[in-house]
Amino acid sequence: MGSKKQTKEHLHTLAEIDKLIHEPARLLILSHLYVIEEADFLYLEQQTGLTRGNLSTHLSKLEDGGLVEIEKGYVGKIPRTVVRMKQDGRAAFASYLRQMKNVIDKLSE
Amino acid sequence: MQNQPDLIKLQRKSFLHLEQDGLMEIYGGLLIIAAGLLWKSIFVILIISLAGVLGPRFVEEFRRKYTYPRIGYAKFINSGQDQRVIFVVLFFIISCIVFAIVFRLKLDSSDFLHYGGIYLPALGGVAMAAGCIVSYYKYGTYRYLLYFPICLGLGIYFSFFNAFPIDTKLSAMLLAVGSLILLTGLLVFYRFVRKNRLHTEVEFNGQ
Repeated sequence: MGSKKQTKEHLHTLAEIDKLIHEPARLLILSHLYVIEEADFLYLEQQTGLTRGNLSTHLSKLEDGGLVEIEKGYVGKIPRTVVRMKQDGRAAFASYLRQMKNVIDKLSE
Repeated sequence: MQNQPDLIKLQRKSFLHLEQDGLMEIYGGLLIIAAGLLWKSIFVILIISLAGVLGPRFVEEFRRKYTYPRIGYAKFINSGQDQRVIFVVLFFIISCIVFAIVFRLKLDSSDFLHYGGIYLPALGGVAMAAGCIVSYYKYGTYRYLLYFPICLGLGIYFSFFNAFPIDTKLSAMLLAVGSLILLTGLLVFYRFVRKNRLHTEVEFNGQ
């Protein structure tokens, strides 16, 4: 009985996990953005190892989800895209980390 | 069970990524050489304080031109600007107090210069070696660990094992350490520029 209840709790916690963040590539991008204030596209490309197309697509999804903001500009004649995590994004990511830790802790009990 | 991102490790990796250009060493080396050339002048306090505030801005300008177009740009949270200003202000105040005590209160300045001349290179070496360790823990760059025995060794050497006149020991030690760090920085920068090609079009094609 207790075991069934526990499994239900685990499933409930897992269901609450933000799918937008949970995807591996986006989790990687957000992890890198979380420890800095802002970064440009080239930096994220080199740090995550994602292809440009992949990175672009995932950044768009994160922007649509309201987790990051993207600023396009120029440095001289070279286009530069700066990405930074929004406050809501930071809160959502911190909450995701807490939830994951809870799930892992409960599973290892 | 470790399946969460290690954020501290990531932050160090980010620091390391941006510190691979050697510009901080070029800046540090120049600063130490300037201190070595001007250490007897009262203006050294002003120059080092100014360099402490303006130097990182020059480094940032260089990075904008040479580093970021090659390996990307990132700005760190709490990049240490506040602590740096506090450190420079404290350095300025403490140095002024030391100068005031030595020169205004008419202590026996000949004794001070004699013993200072002998022990200051060793003390300076220890201080710089400590700085290297702190920098290593902050940035994770192994080169900073290499500077630790160099600073310490040169400090001790110039204090006790050479024939330089007493009043030039500190100056010679600072010039030696500064030149070594500057040279390493220049080599690292040269390798960095050769290794990382310039990205001319880095664009986000968001839908």
